[in-house]
Amino acid sequence: MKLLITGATGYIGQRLSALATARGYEVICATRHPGPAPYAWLPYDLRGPAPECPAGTQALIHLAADTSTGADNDADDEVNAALALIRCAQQGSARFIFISSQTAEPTAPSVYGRTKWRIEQHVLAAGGTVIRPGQVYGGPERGLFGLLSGLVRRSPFIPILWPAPCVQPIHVDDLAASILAVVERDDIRAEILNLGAVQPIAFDRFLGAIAAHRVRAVRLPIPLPVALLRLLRRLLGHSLGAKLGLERIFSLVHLPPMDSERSLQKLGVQLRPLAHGMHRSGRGQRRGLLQEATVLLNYLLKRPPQRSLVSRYVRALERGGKTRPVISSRLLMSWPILLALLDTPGVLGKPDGQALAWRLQVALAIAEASPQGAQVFLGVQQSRSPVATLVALGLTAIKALTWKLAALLGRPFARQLLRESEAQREA
Amino acid sequence: MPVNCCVKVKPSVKPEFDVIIVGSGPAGTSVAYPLVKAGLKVLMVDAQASIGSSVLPTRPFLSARANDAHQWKWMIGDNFHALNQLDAVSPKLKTPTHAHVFEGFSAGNRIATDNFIGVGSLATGGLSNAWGCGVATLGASDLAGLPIDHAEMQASYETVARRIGISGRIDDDLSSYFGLDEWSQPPLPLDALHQRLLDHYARRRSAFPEQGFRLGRSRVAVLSQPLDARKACDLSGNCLWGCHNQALYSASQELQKLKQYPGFQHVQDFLVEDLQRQDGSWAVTDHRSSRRFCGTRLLLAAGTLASTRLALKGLNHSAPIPLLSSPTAAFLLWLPTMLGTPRAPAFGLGQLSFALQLSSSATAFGSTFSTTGLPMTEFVSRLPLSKRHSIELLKNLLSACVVGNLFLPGHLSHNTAALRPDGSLSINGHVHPELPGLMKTAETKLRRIYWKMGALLMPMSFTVGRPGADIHYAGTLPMHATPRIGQTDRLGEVAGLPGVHVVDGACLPRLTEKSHTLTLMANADRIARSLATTIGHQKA
Repeated sequence: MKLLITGATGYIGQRLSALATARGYEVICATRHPGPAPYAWLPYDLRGPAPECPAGTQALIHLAADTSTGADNDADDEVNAALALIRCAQQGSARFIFISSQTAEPTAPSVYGRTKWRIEQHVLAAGGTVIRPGQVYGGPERGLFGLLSGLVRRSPFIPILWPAPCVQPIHVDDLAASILAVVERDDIRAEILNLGAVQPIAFDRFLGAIAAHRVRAVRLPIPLPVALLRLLRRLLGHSLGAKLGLERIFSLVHLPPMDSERSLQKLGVQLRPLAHGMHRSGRGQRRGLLQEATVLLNYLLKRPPQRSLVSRYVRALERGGKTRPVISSRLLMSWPILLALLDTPGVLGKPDGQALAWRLQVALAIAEASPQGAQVFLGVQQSRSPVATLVALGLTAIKALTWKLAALLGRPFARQLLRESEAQREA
Repeated sequence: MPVNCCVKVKPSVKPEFDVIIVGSGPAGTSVAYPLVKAGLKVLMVDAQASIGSSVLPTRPFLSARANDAHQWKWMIGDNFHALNQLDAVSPKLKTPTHAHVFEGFSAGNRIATDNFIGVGSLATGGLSNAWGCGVATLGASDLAGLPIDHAEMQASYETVARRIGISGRIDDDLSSYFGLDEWSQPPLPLDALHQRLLDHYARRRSAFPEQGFRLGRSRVAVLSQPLDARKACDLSGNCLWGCHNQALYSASQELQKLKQYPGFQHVQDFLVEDLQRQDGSWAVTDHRSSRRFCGTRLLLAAGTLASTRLALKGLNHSAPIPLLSSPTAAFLLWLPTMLGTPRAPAFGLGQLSFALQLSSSATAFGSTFSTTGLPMTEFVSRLPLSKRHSIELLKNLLSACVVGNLFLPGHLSHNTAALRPDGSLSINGHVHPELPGLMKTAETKLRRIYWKMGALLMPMSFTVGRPGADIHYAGTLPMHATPRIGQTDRLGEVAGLPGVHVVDGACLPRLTEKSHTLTLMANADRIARSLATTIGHQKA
């Protein structure tokens, strides 16, 4: 199973190649420069002739695009290059999959969108598949996502464009999985698939998600009327505006919403929530589990746990198919000792406390089986006078009783801690 | 005899083996020796597939705990084995190094349980890969009324005891109770807490006999001196996790020795599902690989539960039969004067044992253990405090504590085993109505007695185990002088299945409070000695 991928070293191409290789495909990069180790390389430049399609290629996935300039004669070259690639695929009797854009429109404001639309027509005529991704995000900070992340990281503000343009985000790995789903489906031919969140979200909310979950910083929202940007473009002129990325912003403003629900259903792809996808791991739940691990282990060990213990806890849970945290209260994260309010038979014995009871047992076993745990569980191996030990025991007993009393009195509060976790999970 | 002397309907295939032994645990290996020594062709099969790759601690327990960043691999397991067994009754069942010992037994042997803990092993060496190494002999009074000759048994006890290596030889109040000192190595050193207990006992020795209490060293199948290729215990404290010296006896250590006999053959990954009779001999088949072996006699040593199912299936006997197990309990002793004792390297299995007369017909037997080599998680979950404070408390408390266990005779259990129409064995756990009262008596007596030795039996720590938690099973197909269906003769031969012998715990007619492993091994040896002679005569 061979896949010939143009633009394989780009933002999407890189993730697609990795996923395809993991699924057992042989990936051939049709790129200007050789790709990294496991992939075969076929030198290819958008401006040059199409490569020879290697025998047995299942699909040619065309990701390469010229995003640098906006001149129309360059666009012709790009359309011709695509035509040559379509012929190349036909010669090798490979499927042709073209990654277009949500902005593809015959009357799109940007050259980029118009070019994509022109290529789409040729692809459809040749029986190929067109994929129009919405706002691609997640993974490494590259492409438009890289640009936006960089802006959010540097600027203390988030512009709230007015009127607010909407985007339909899709995680780069979800897109890669969707492309492979198309490769594996023989019944999808000569059609356009719209891939992105079903419900469009305001662009500033998207930037806000970058700030909250990726950059993890507070950014001040500043209203920015689109009319002001128009004025700026007029003042700067077209080419300078394009260089500053104004073109891209305008293409956003004019973005028509797309119906992605049917395409997603057809492919059987479920997109991850934006908040999860924004994390570096691409899985926000894992972060939730890591936080839970830190709380539980810190509570048991009375000090911040070693990183290895935290990740071991998460792996143990993930192995058991448990990917959602049960503890996500911010209060507990700041004061893990508050878990003593929940660590009572009154809470753990109830049906909604059983998940926590089990996780405490897991954390207990993992905490103990470490040098850090040996310190806490076995103590230093030095002789101590019985009196001193008795005093220590007495102190522990007093502490334990105090907390027991606190747990009794604070039961409504304790239940609140659990419920808070639940509410955060649902959000 | 000329082959063509008579006309046969079916060509008879001569069995490839004189004896096929099903199972390679303590019973299987013990029954093998006399047979291979008599020059018979013996096949031993067991169902061990692969033992996986388990990590053993590479240094003494305390040093490993303090320094080994990878200790979780032997404490929990690469695949988080221990976390999948959080509810298991014994820490042994959670240890990743023992995972292969218990894995797949109930499914493979089709054992279903209700209110009963049914544990067995498919592994080479069987349950002895993970046992407590407790050993004892039955005295003449224990054997009274049974079709077992005491003198024959004594000879077999000696043979087995010398072969497996036993330590604990000392002249104390339990010498006659164990009856092993003649063939044993000296005892292993006691830790400070047990030494203190023993000192107190010795000081007030006269006070205890009237309580029916006797204390002494534990007799264990653990080397205090090297034996063959095995090294002596060096107090590493890794008994629970895996002994790198092989000081703890496991029947798996016998296979190398047995293979030196030309008539012996060992086949693994062979799960016997039923027995087929064929022209006066017996065949066993492994359905997964379609391998098949044929032998003149079949010795069942697959462990009490598995052997019982095979025999009942062979008989097609579906009426419920009794299954003996030793009711058991565990408790925690605190020695207040030993508070602040530093953790020190210690032997991890029984150090001191006791026998306690509870009634005219019931004696309790138990041993006490160091808490050092155990995972503390076991204790934390039992305290009525939050875990954070439990850990803090136990850190200071446990080094002055020892854990104890206790076993009662099998007649106080009331379990049944029955073959279901689908061929599985269904086990129902019950206890004798007298048991709760006796357990209460035991707790009260032990509290009073240990208090005299300066130890407090911790309140709420005395926990009675569920039926079967002792993993001492016996007596499903008891030996009888004139066996009926569902019984065996004095050589374990199943009534109704000529040529099939049950040689493991299943044929022991009586289960006392004492550890029964050595007894079932000696009984297997006794049966094999008789069989070797019988088969020898038949062949001649």
